[in-house]
Amino acid sequence: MAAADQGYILNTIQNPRSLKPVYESVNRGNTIGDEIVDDTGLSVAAVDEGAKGLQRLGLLESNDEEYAIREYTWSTGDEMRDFQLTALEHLASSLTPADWGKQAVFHLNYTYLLKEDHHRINDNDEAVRKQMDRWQRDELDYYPTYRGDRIDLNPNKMENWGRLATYLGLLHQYDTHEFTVYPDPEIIYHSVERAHGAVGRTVDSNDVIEVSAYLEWLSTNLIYLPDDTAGVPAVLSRALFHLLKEEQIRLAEIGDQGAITFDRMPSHRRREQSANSIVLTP
Amino acid sequence: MSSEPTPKTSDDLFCPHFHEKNESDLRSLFSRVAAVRAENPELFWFTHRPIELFQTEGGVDGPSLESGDERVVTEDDVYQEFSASRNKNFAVVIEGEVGTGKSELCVALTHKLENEANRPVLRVDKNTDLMSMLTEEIPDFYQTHFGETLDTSSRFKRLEDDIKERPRMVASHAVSTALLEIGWDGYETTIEPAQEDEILDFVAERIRERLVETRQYGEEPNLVTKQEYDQNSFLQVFEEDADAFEGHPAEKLSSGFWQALLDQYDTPPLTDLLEEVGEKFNEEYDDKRPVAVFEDFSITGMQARQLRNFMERDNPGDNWDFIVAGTRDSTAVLHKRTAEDRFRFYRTNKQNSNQVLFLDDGSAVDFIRPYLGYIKHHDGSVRYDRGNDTGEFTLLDPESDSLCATCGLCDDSFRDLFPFNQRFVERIYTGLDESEQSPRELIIVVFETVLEYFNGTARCPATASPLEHVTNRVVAHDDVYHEAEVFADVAKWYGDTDRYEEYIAVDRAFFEAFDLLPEHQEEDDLPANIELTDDHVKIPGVGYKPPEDYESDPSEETDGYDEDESEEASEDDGEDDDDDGVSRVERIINEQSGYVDNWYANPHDESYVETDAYLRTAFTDLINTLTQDYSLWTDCDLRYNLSRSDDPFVYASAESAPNPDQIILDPRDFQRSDIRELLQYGIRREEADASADQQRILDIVGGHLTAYARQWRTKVRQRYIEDPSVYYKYDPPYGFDDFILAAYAWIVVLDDPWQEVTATTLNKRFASGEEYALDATLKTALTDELAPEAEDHIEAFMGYADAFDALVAERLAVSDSTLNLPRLRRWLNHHEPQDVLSRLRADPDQLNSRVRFDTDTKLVDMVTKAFRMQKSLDQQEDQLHDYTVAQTTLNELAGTDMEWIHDKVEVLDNYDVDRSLYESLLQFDSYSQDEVDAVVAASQLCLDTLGASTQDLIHKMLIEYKLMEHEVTEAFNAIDFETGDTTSSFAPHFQEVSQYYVEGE
Repeated sequence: MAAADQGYILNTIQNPRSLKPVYESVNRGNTIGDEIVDDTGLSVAAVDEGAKGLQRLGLLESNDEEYAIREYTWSTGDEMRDFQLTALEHLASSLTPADWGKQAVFHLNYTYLLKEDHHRINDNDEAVRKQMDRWQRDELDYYPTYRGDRIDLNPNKMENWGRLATYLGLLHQYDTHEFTVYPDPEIIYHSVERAHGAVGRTVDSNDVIEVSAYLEWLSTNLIYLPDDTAGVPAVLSRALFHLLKEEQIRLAEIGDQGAITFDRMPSHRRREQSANSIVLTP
Repeated sequence: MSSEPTPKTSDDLFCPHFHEKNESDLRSLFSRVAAVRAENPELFWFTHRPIELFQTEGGVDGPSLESGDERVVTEDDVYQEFSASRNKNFAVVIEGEVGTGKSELCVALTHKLENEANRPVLRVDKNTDLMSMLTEEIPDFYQTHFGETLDTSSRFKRLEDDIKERPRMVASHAVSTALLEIGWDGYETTIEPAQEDEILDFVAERIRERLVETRQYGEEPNLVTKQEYDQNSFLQVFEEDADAFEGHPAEKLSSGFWQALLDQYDTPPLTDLLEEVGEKFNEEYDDKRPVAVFEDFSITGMQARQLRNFMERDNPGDNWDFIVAGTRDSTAVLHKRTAEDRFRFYRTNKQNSNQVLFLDDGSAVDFIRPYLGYIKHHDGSVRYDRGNDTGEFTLLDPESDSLCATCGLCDDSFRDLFPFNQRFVERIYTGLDESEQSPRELIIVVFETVLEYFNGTARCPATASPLEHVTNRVVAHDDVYHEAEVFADVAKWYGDTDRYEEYIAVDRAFFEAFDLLPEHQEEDDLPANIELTDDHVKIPGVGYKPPEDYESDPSEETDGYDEDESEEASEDDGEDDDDDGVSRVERIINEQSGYVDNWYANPHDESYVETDAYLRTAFTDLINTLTQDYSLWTDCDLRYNLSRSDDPFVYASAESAPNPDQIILDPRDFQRSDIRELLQYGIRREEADASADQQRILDIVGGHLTAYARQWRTKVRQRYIEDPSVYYKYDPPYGFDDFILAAYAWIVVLDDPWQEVTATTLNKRFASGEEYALDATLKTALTDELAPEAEDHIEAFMGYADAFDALVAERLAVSDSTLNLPRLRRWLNHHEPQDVLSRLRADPDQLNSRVRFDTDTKLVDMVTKAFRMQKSLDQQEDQLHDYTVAQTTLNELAGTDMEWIHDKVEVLDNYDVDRSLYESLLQFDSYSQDEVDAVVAASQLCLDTLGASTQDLIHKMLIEYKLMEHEVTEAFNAIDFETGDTTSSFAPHFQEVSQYYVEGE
């Protein structure tokens, strides 16, 4: 979906709060900008930003200056979560190494944090921003361009990314520029469910998915994981641990697959020592 | 797929000796009750360590001891006291705290008396009740030694049967007899017939319940407790005051009932029975003194006093030896002046301590050695040279064909101790709280540790849960906890710390035995810089500096996430460095780090209260940060003002439930390496604020704590925001957002009553960013029209306008200047602000005043003020029946063209017009078209747009009030055309007048 002429998502979306109101307005039948402005009370500029942002997120189409929504591809019972998951899934379609889609930056920034095991980020931190960008440029060969030049991750884009990642449920903001790396556990839970539907199986009437299969599915469809990941990165382990505690899943040893390392996950009675699979609690 | 621990198979238990054992064997071996081990004499004597104890009182034939003096004696010294040539009764009383070897000594003495001195021994253990002694133990003892039946036993049997089958009859007789006996003893009793029935029912129930069902005969068959006596007036039969009795009156009554029961069946008391048996031994064997052993003396009350009297009586024909063991409380009855002279008193533990003479830091290993060695002794693998019975053990070589000889895993330093080594056992003993350093506690920890390893609950002994309660400050490097936690545990318990700053060395055999070394693991591949040698595994100690720390290039661009920052910070506080260059904070960190593992297991344990305080500081500080000082939503100024003395959490293991403003925090959600980091942060935060690096700690545990921060917010919001019953009475279909929106709608109306309440006008007002205030004109009107108190309520409500604005921004804004219009429209279609606010609670006492913006802006006050404001307006609404000002204004001013009027007024100045009329026209002319239009629009809003709902009626009233006081209206009213017609509009009159003059020109 990431056409070369499409705008760069981190330029387009500065205030993600207008995304969902614009999406809902179009969904109510307001198909042109003026109608959306009247309906939402948002400024013309805000509507334009929201509409373009939704297009980058794959949630809106534009034909002959008329907008049409793309339906959510998730149905979790929570509309905001459906929005987040659908947007994350659409953005993941840019994750096509080595010919990365233009919007891959959204996921790759997060991947860098997972890779480096950062549990906190300051969107004004120049060092981290530059390392992030260098890693994407030099190691992943990610080259989003504008008029032939590579778009670098500048301070504004980094701030825009922080706001969008928070809006889509991947970060927790606790100060103007400070965030913890905290994927909403419910997003992770629904990803496990979806992954099970796609590549899981049933063992003794239990819904089971091998951790390695889950990670691969997740990396392809929702949250891109570093290639060199041996096991479950700590940030994701943390979310899975939350689901363990809430008794939404178990981690069990099923079948012959080797044990999976869950980075920095404490022991728990619902996690077997040599766990290699996720069992969804009925 | 089970999450339960997998039981170990024989292969998992490396030592072949364990293959032959089952859990029952281990339980017998480590039984906390010496008598259980005594059932297997071979086991008992293999594991028995001769006991040393204190003689506390000399007794009539013993050594002279001054009061308070103590003499150390050996087990053999005590044994020698049991001379066969004594006459009269003799008693050895062994006192001591629980688990200090009393039973062990009893068993050892009993064994020797029985087997070496050929004494008849009557064992009375803790579970033997009085009735059992009377009906079973003593008759059996008698039968065994004399081949005859003791004829009292059948009488006891009859008593027991009758109690079972006809308790009321038994009770009836006992009650009447007892009350008579008590009277004969000189006590005055008064009993009504009905009262006697109640007593009878009571006693029947008690003898059934306390004698037959529970067989608690040994408890001075307590048929009437003090509490029962005090609570049941029918039992209070005595005329005398309570102080007329030696003990409590209940005791007298209870003893009377019991004695009556015994008399009823002609059953002799315990002492009579012992006397009878003793006489039989005298008759039959002359010098064979029987021995009665009370291993855990638990006889109390009257029976205990009778027994004591028998033991101490000065009767040359008596021939019983007694061994009585118990805690000082249970043997208190024996400490009577005459008895103290007759008996020998010993104590196993040191004064005011659970420590004993035969177990200390130096002897702990030897003490435990035979217990563990016993598992391996059957085939000659473990044999000891026990020296001269001093308790020292020397491990001999295994027999040539034994398992140990062929296995070869263990070094001789720990072969008998496997799966422990000496350091492990020493660390257990020294790590026990001083009050728990008793033989029993040591054995319990060792046994439970072995058992967890044996049954697979623990991967190896070093990870067993009983150790969580044992303080051990040996700590591996954080990387080891982070990457290979089990290695840290093994290092902690088995490790040699001679080179602690570099590494902790552990015999490689343990890792192999516990299968901790990955298969085909190359040395370089071990995590956390753990080094593997032929003999040992070297695990980095807490002070270890990883090679990369030396190699890092300082010129390399830093990402701000390495540890340098904190190290630099720690150097900053070096002004109070000691001689070693270690700062005070670093010293505290070093000291406290050793307690983390124990705190982790027992955060409530008072032994680690300091560690806990630092960790609480860390948790609280970080949750505070992640909730933005306990704000209820991100970037919202509404917060919960948590008390400074409270934490926002309680631990999972807390006995009390968390408060509404507390969540449950489980330290086990964190790895121990994380806890160590948190501890350091807490210490730095507490002791040297500048060196506490919050960003660094959040980079490590930010995700963990975010979960807690969000959980905290969710809990507080659920309690104080999302529960409608906090805000509303009578359960209306409204929530918090309805309250906020309704209040905001009124703020907009009171700010300008001529505004219609629509989504657009609310949004526009919100976007304007202007300050809110009660409309000045309206305020003047309200002063005239409303009671002063009502006006005050409205003013007070408007004082919270900014807070409501902030909440509207939080709950409804989609940008800094735009509200969610579609949602507002939906809301206004289905809600009336007046109805929402009128259903608020007048006094929302469930809404904690800690929920607030600041000290002057509490949410509870916002609710109260909104309710009062609404009530004030509601009460005023029916005071206004028509809208005459609006009507007049609309009639007179609608369509007025102020430009035209201006032109005409200018012309009028040239004529001799009534000056009063002219001045009023001139005044009116000073208003702009917009101002006049606004007045007209307000009138239209009042008369045409707004409907008949209460909300609209109040709004119309406010419009009318403002019109009444508005300057345009007043200016217009000041114009007097003297037409006498009040119904026609202003414009025609003015036109007529002006036309006359203008045309006349």
